[in-house]
Amino acid sequence: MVQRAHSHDDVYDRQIRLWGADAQKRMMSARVLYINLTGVTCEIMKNLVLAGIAAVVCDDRPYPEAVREMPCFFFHAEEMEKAMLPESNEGAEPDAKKAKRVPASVASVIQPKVDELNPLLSGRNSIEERALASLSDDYFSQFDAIVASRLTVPEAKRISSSLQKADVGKLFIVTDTFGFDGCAQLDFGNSHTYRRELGKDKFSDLLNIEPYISMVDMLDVPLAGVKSRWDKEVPRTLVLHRLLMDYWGYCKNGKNNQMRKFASFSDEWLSTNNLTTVGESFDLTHMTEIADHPEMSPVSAVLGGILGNEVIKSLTGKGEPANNIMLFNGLDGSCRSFLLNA
Amino acid sequence: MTVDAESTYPPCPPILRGMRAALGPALLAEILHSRILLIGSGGIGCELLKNLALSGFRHVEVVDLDTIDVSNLNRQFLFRSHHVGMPKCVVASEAALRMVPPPPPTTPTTPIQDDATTAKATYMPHHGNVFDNARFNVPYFQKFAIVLNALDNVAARRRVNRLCLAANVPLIEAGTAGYLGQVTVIDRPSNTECYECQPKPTQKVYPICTIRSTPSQPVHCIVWAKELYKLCFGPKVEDSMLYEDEESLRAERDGQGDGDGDEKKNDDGGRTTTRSDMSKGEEEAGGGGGSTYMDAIRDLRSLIGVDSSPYSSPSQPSAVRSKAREALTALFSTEIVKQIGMDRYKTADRVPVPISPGVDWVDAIPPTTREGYTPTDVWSPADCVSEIASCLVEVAENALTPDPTSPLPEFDKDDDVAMRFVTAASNLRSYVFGIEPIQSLYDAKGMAGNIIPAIATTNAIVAGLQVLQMFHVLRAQLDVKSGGGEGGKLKECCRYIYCLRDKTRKGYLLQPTSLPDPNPDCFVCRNASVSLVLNTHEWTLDMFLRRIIKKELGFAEPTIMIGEDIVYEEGEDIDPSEYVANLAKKMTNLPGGGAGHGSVLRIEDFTQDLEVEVSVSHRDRWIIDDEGEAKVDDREEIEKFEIGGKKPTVSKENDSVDAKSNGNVANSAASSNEGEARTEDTNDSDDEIELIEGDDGPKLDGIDDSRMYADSKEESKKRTLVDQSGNGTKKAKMTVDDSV
Repeated sequence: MVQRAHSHDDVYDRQIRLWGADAQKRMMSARVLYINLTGVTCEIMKNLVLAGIAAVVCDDRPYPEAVREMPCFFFHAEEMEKAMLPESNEGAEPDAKKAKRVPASVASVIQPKVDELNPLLSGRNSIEERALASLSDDYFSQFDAIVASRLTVPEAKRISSSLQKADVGKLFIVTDTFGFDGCAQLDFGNSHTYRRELGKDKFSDLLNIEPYISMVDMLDVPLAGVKSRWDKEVPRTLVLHRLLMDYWGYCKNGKNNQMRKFASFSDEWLSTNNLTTVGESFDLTHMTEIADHPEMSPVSAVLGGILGNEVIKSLTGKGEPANNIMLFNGLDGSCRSFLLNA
Repeated sequence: MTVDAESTYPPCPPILRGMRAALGPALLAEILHSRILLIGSGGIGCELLKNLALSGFRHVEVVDLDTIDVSNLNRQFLFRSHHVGMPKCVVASEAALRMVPPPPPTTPTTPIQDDATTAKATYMPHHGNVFDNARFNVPYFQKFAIVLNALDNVAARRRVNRLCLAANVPLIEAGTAGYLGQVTVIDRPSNTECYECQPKPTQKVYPICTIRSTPSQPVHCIVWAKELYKLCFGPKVEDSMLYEDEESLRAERDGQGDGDGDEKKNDDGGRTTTRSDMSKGEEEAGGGGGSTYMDAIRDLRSLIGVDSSPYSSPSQPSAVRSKAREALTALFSTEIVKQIGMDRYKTADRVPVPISPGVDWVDAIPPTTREGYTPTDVWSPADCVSEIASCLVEVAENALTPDPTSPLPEFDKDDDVAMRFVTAASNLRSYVFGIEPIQSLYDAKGMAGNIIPAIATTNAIVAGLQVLQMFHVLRAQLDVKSGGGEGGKLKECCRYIYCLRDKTRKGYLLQPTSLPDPNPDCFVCRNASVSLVLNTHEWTLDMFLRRIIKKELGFAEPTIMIGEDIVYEEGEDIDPSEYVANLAKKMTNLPGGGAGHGSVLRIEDFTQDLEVEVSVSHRDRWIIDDEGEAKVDDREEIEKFEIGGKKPTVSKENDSVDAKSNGNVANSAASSNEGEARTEDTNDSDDEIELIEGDDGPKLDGIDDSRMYADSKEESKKRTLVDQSGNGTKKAKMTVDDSV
C-alpha cells in the first residue's frame, strides 16, 4: 500500500459516526489545559488527543522525580530510573547528584510524546512551564476545558473564580485517584448549555445545568451535612478526596514533608470537619500507604475514560453532563455522579 | 515518598508502589508471576496491554490475526500511521513491553527472588487465528492464570469461551460499541453464566424477493447494489442473487405459483400461516422468459476485462460508457417495467418509477471528481449514473495492468471504486422505488460495511475494569494456593459491569451487577440438548455439518453419531475419505437408521471438550415473515431451519424490554422471520447488553454467506437504552449486530 498522509476523515471515521461531523469540528478547534499530570489526567489527555483535541500541559514539577510513581504510558519506568542514576539505591544520598542534572519540567519531557500520539494535531499542542501561582487570572479563560490533579483547595478556588469572572461556560475538573477509588469534582460553568440525547440525531432543546454550583461553592460546602436521596451521609470517596487534597497540599507546603504522618493529619482533619463518624470506616494503616502512593493504572484508565467523555460532552454540548461529583469505586467497578449541594 | 515505608517491604519499582499500597505485597508478587493470555490487540487490547504493563504483569501472550488500518488510529494508541499494514499483536506487544517496569533490584535483605519475577519480561505476540487448533488448544490455555478477551466478533469469542471452559481457566470478557460496553467474568467452577448462555444477535437474512423485487428500506437497496457489484465484477457471475438464466427465471415463476392460497398447519405448536395475496397474481404473468439485463451485463464484463484476459486490447472509454448506459437502462427501466407488468406492485403502497439514463448522464463529470466534493454529499439520479459509468471506465483501464487491484473480486467497503459503485447503484434503486433517505457515500459505507462506531474512552473504561476484575481473580487464586479454601468463589468478588451513556436513576454510569447463573439450557456449559427443525428429506449431512454443526454450533472437529454408528468424524488422524459417501446423503438416509423426525444425534468435539445431543424434527413447509407479511420462504434450503429447543426465541427487533418473548407469538414471529430461531433468557430481572468492539465489516468465513446481510438499522438503536427500572438496576436492552 502506498504511504500517504492520513486525513482527518479517515482517522476519525469511527468516532464521527458516533457524535457527528459538527461535534468533531468543535473538538478539533478546542484546546484543553492539563494542570499537574497524574495517571488519571494522562489518561484523559490520551483519550482526547487521540480524538483530535489539542492539549496544553501545565506542569513545572521536576522530571522524573515528580512522576516516578505515576502509572502512565508516556513515561517509561526504565527511562525514569535511568534518569535517576547514578545513585546506587533509591532514596539514598540524593541532593548532591540531583543538582548536577539539568532540571527538566514534566511538561517539557511529555511534549514530544503528546505530539507523536496524534500527528494530525501537529503545531496545536503546547506546554506551560511557569508555576501555577505565577499565571495571571485571565490565563485560564482561554481554554475550552481545564483538567487538573493534585490541586490544593486554594488553587482550585482561584482557578474557579477566575473562570467565573470571565463567565465562559467552560468545564473545570479537579480529579485524583487513590487506591481503588477515584473522585472528580466538575464545574461546567454557569453559562454552559447542553442538549440531551433523545435518540439517533435527536436532541432536546438547549438546557442549563440545574442546579449550578460553582467549584468555589462546592469546595465551601461543609461535608458533614451533605446528603442526597440515595445517600444518608456524604459519600466516603468524596471525603477521602478532600482529605487527600488537603494532606497533599500540606505535604507540598511543609518544608519537611514527613513532619506529620497521614494518620495524625487525618484525625485532626476529620474532627475539624465534623466527619469523625465517616472516618471510622477508614482503614488508616492502609490509607497511610495509599496517601503516599495513591495511583494504580486500571483505576486511572477507567476514571480517565469516564472524564474524557465528560470533556467531550462539554465541548460538543451533546449529552447530559455529570453534575457535579463523579465517584468511582474500583472494587466493585461502579461509577456514579453525585450532586453536592449546600 | 517515605524512606520508612520502603524499608518495611522488599524493593519495588517506584511505578508499582501504588499497586503495592492498594493490593498488598502478596498480591503484587502474584501479579509479577502470573501468565496472562490476551486474545485481541485492537481497541480494547491496546488499552489492556498498557494497563497490564503498568500494573507490573511480566508474562503476557497476545493472539491476533489482524493488521493495522488507518481507521484504528483514533483509539488504538499503540499504533502510529507508519504501522499501517503491520500485524497488530507484534506492534502492540513491543510497545507494551517498553512500559513494563524493570525487575526490582536485589538487595542484601532480599538477595534472591524467584525466576518468574526477575526473569526478563516477555510480551509474546502470536500473529495467528485463535481457531488454529494446532497452536491454540486446551493444553495451551491451561498454561495461563487468566484469559482476557478483547475481540470484535462472536465466532472467536465462542471459541475462546469453550477453550476456557474446557481448560478451567477464568475468562474476563469485554465488548464495546460506541459509548456502551460491558465486562464480565466467566468461570466454570464459580458457576457463572458462560458467553454462550445467552443468544447473540446474528446477521439479518432478507427474503430474496424483498431484495430482488420489493425493497422498502435503504438497506434493501444496499444489499441489492452489493449483489450487482458481484454480478458485474465477481469471479463467477452466477454467484450473484441477481443472476438470471432461463432455468432460474422459470423456477422463480413456478415457485411463486406453488402452493397458492394454501393453508398449512405447522408441526411446531400448531400455529397457522396463511399465504399472502401478494404472489397470487404471478402465475399468469411471466413475460417472455428471457432476462432483461443479463446480456448487457455479460457484454459489460468482457468490455471491462472481468471476463477476458488482462492483456487483451483496451476498451475505449466511450464504448464502456455506452454499454454502461445500456446495462443501467435494462436494470432501472426495462426490468422495472417488466416487474410492473407482472403485477408485482398491485397491492404495494407505491409503484416504482423507472429511470432511463440520458446519453449526457454517462458522459457527465461524476460527483466524486467535482470540485468541492465531500463524502456526505447526496447524489441525484444523473450523478449516480455518471458515477457508475466512471467506475466502469476506471475498472476497464485498470484491467490492463498486470496485477489489477480494482475491482476486488469481493465487495470491500474500504475499496474506493466498490463503495462509489454500490452507493450510486443503491441510490438509483432507491429513487426508482421512492425509498428515503437517499444515502451519501459516507452513510452508505456505514451501512454496507456494517461499521460500528468506536471511541478511545469506552475502550479505556472496559479495559480498566477488566484489569480490576483480574485483581479479584488473582486474589482468589492466591487464597486457594495458600490453603484458604476451594476455588469457585468468583461470584463473591467479581461483577458483571455495564458501561452506559445515560446515567441510571441513582446516577450510575458504570453499573455493576452480580455474575449471572448459567442458563440451564446452554448446550455449551450445561451440555443441554439442542432441538433442530429442518426438512430431513432435503438436507444432506454435508449441509447439516457446514451450516448447523460448524457455523451455528461452532464445532471445530466434530464427530457425529446416530446411536452407536459414527456417520462422520474429522481430526488429525482421521481419513476424511471414509465419510465422503455419507456427506452427500440426505439426513433420512444416513446409516444407523437415519436422522429423520424424532431422531437424536450425538456430536462430540474433543478439541473443545464439547458434546451435545441434537433432537431432530422434520418440517417441509417454511413461511417467512417479510415486513409483517407471511410469505413462502424462498431462501435456499440451507437457510431454512430452526434451532434452540423449548426456549423462547428473540423477537424480531429485540429493541425493548417489552419485546421479551414469553410465548408462542414471539416465538413464531422470530423463527419464521429469521429462519434461525435464537433463544433468549426469560428471566426479566436480568439486564442485557451485548456489545462488541468492532471496526470492520462482516467477516464471514466459509459456508454460503451470499444470503446473509447485516441489518444496519440496528445501528440506530445503539444509543437508545431503556433506562431505569425503578430500583437502580439498569434495564438496558439493545441489539447490536454482532457479526463484525
